[in-house]
Amino acid sequence: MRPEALSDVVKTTSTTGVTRQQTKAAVKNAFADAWQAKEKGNKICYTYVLGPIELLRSFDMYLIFPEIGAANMAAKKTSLPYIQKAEDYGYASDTCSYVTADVGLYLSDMNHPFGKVPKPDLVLNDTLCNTYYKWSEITQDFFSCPIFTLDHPVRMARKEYPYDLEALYQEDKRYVVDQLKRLIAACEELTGKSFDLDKFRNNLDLANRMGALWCEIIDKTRHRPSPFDAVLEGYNYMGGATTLKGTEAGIAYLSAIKADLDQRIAEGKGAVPEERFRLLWMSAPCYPYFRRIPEMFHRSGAVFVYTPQFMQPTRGTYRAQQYDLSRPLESYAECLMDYFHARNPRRPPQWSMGWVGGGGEIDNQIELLHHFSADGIVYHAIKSCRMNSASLADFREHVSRRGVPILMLESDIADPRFFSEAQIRNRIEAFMEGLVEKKLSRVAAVG
Amino acid sequence: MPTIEDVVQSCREQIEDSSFRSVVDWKQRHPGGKVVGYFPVYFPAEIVAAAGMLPVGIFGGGNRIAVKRADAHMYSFMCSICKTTTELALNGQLAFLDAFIGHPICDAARHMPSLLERNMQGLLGDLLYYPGSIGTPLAVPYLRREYVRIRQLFEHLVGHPIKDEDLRDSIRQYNEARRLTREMYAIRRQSPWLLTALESYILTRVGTLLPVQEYIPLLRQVLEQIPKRDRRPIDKVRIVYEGAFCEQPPLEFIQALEEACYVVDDDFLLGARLIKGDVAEHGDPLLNLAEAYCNETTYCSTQHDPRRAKSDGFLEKCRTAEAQAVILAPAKFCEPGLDDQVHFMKRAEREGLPSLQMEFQERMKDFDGIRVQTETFAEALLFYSESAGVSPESTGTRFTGVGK
Repeated sequence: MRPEALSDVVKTTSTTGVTRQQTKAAVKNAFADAWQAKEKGNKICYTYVLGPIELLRSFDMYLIFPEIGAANMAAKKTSLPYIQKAEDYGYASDTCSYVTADVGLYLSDMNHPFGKVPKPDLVLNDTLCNTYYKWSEITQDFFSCPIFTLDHPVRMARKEYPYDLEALYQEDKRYVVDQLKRLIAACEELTGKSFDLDKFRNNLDLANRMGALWCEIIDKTRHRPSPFDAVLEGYNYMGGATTLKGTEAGIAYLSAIKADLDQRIAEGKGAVPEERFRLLWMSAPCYPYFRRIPEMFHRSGAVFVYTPQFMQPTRGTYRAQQYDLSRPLESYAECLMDYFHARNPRRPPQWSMGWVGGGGEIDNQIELLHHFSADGIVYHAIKSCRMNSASLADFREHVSRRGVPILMLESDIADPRFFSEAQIRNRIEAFMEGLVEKKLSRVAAVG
Repeated sequence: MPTIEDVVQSCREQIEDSSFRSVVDWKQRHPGGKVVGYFPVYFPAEIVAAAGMLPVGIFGGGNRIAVKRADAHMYSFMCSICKTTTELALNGQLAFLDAFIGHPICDAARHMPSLLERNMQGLLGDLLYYPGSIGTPLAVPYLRREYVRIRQLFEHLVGHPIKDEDLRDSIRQYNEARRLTREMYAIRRQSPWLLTALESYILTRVGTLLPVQEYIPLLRQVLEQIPKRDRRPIDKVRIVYEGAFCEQPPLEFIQALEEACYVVDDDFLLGARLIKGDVAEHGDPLLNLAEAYCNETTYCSTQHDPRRAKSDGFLEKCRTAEAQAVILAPAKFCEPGLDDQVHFMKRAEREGLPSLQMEFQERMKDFDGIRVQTETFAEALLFYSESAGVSPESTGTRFTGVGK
């Protein structure tokens, strides 16, 4: 989406209900704007939601996020025909349905429900998950476009290190900085434009401001009642924030959200009419039934107050960490490494799950519960996403030993065939009954 | 001297033993000795062996253990190898492990070191993080540094330094093991009736359990006897199998394929043959290992190399093996394998190379479906398929063309 287009939306819309419309506008107009950018001679880059957005935008590349495209197909209940097209082509139903929905798009002459999608001039493979590697290679198979892989090593945290952790971190950082330099050279060659350090620095400055705003927003769920639901509204906020990352429009967008939430807090309005329970949501939502699952919880007065995926819109610029504009590339590399998958064990993940980080994951979740005054955790294990889901059942075993109520649900991010409404409703109802009983017994004990 | 059949049978018993008696025995024979388990696909076992420790490949529990406890620790959509490895860990059958090293080969495997560490008291878990793109000039220096870190980790575990000279010795021994494995595969390509895929699989798999010093004479002993075997060729289709680079199919699965075809090449236990030639034996040993991983490997679904399409390597393998067809059968829930299955299938289609798509699970126990599918495919190739250039009068045209 053109940044100015969203700014217009921001200026002309009142705060009440503004954010959902803005998110819709940001995402829905993305492909039309992409064609305009292409006509102007800008290059189209497919990248994933955690890619080096600020750097790519400094070359005026138009960014298309295949994950957001697939999630939107699912949320509009249009993903299944695309997925089935990919399966007819040969892809298995057990793989990532974001990928198969995207392949279905390629096989549908690039006709997305939101418009025709331009082909990529470059695919930026961020290495957060391994599926990105395969997805990039598949995209390359279809379009013969170059892939740039930006790798940042995963390091397990441990109690003691038989090697110099600081030296390792500095070496890893040099590895990432060297890759960023190669990416800059590749972008210069592709776009014919020289790297503009000031422009990049400006994008980082905007991202810093967005990061700070985002941290204020996600902290607002600590209010009772929580002014928004971390799943139902939080993921909408995130879609817009990712699409507009590192832009003036992004700042306007998040400012509008913040103002909206402040107003709700001032008016005492909560995400649910009568907040009785506060829960953490671990993993991504079930987009084909995006509203259905949170609403099942809302019926019992439960609201989601946090999800670790809230770290996505800022990518490492969480809490006090900001890009250091005096050393932009190095600082950028640090933030890429510090992201919540424990790439930097010197900084234990805050507010996140540290899925593959080793050690500390259980304590981290307990800390999250306390920070957000939550009553329990819902793990959403996703058929498509083993990155998010592989450890969830094991976490359930370990976290529940600390007396934390846990519910584990299984469905999918984009494939509606993996959603069983009756089964999910039963599980949610049983879980909520358990929470009610626990609360009653606690009250009785205090009384 | 024991016959090949005797050796294979003895190896089979070892690899089917989910209590890992041979490893436990090694520990008893080496008081204070340490065992380092590693997950597929590839692991530089040379570093572990140079420290005097025993490297052991952990490939799950096969179809001889029931998954009971692991289901509580893993959700439904996980591959068998992760689930049965977890089951072994929870049952105490991996208690002999002092360390477990995983790799970021896929989104599921990334979790394994942490997951095992949480559930096995005293276990040292670590991720050996290979470079995301092996085709850039940054990959080799990065990986050398990563190997230095892993060496330091193992030095801490074993309690003494690992000398460069010991590493070079270890590389020499593993080079020899790789050479002998390549010899086995060359025999299968040349005269598949002399050594079945099942036999070669068992002989390769046992190498993931034995100390390399014991493994080399075992392979030599077998290789010496192979030309003397009294076996004659049968009119069977020559196929290449692709999809088992990580999780391994049950032995019965391989047997079912071989009833209808000669499996003249495959990617079973790919880590044992990922490095195509010898690792350099002089100079900086960790640099040599890193060079070999980045520049001397065959294609693999879990490696990303911008210099070449994986299907180029795949076709080259089919050409070298003079395959008439391919069976593309990755493990269920294996994202890299299932995605690349389409990449290979489409390339095979373009090249006029017939292919059969299937899936397997390490835990599977019923092979009738596999047998019927393979037989039907082989019969179609032998008697009906004109696209493969096969006529009723001959066993068909072998695939030698490579294009893009």
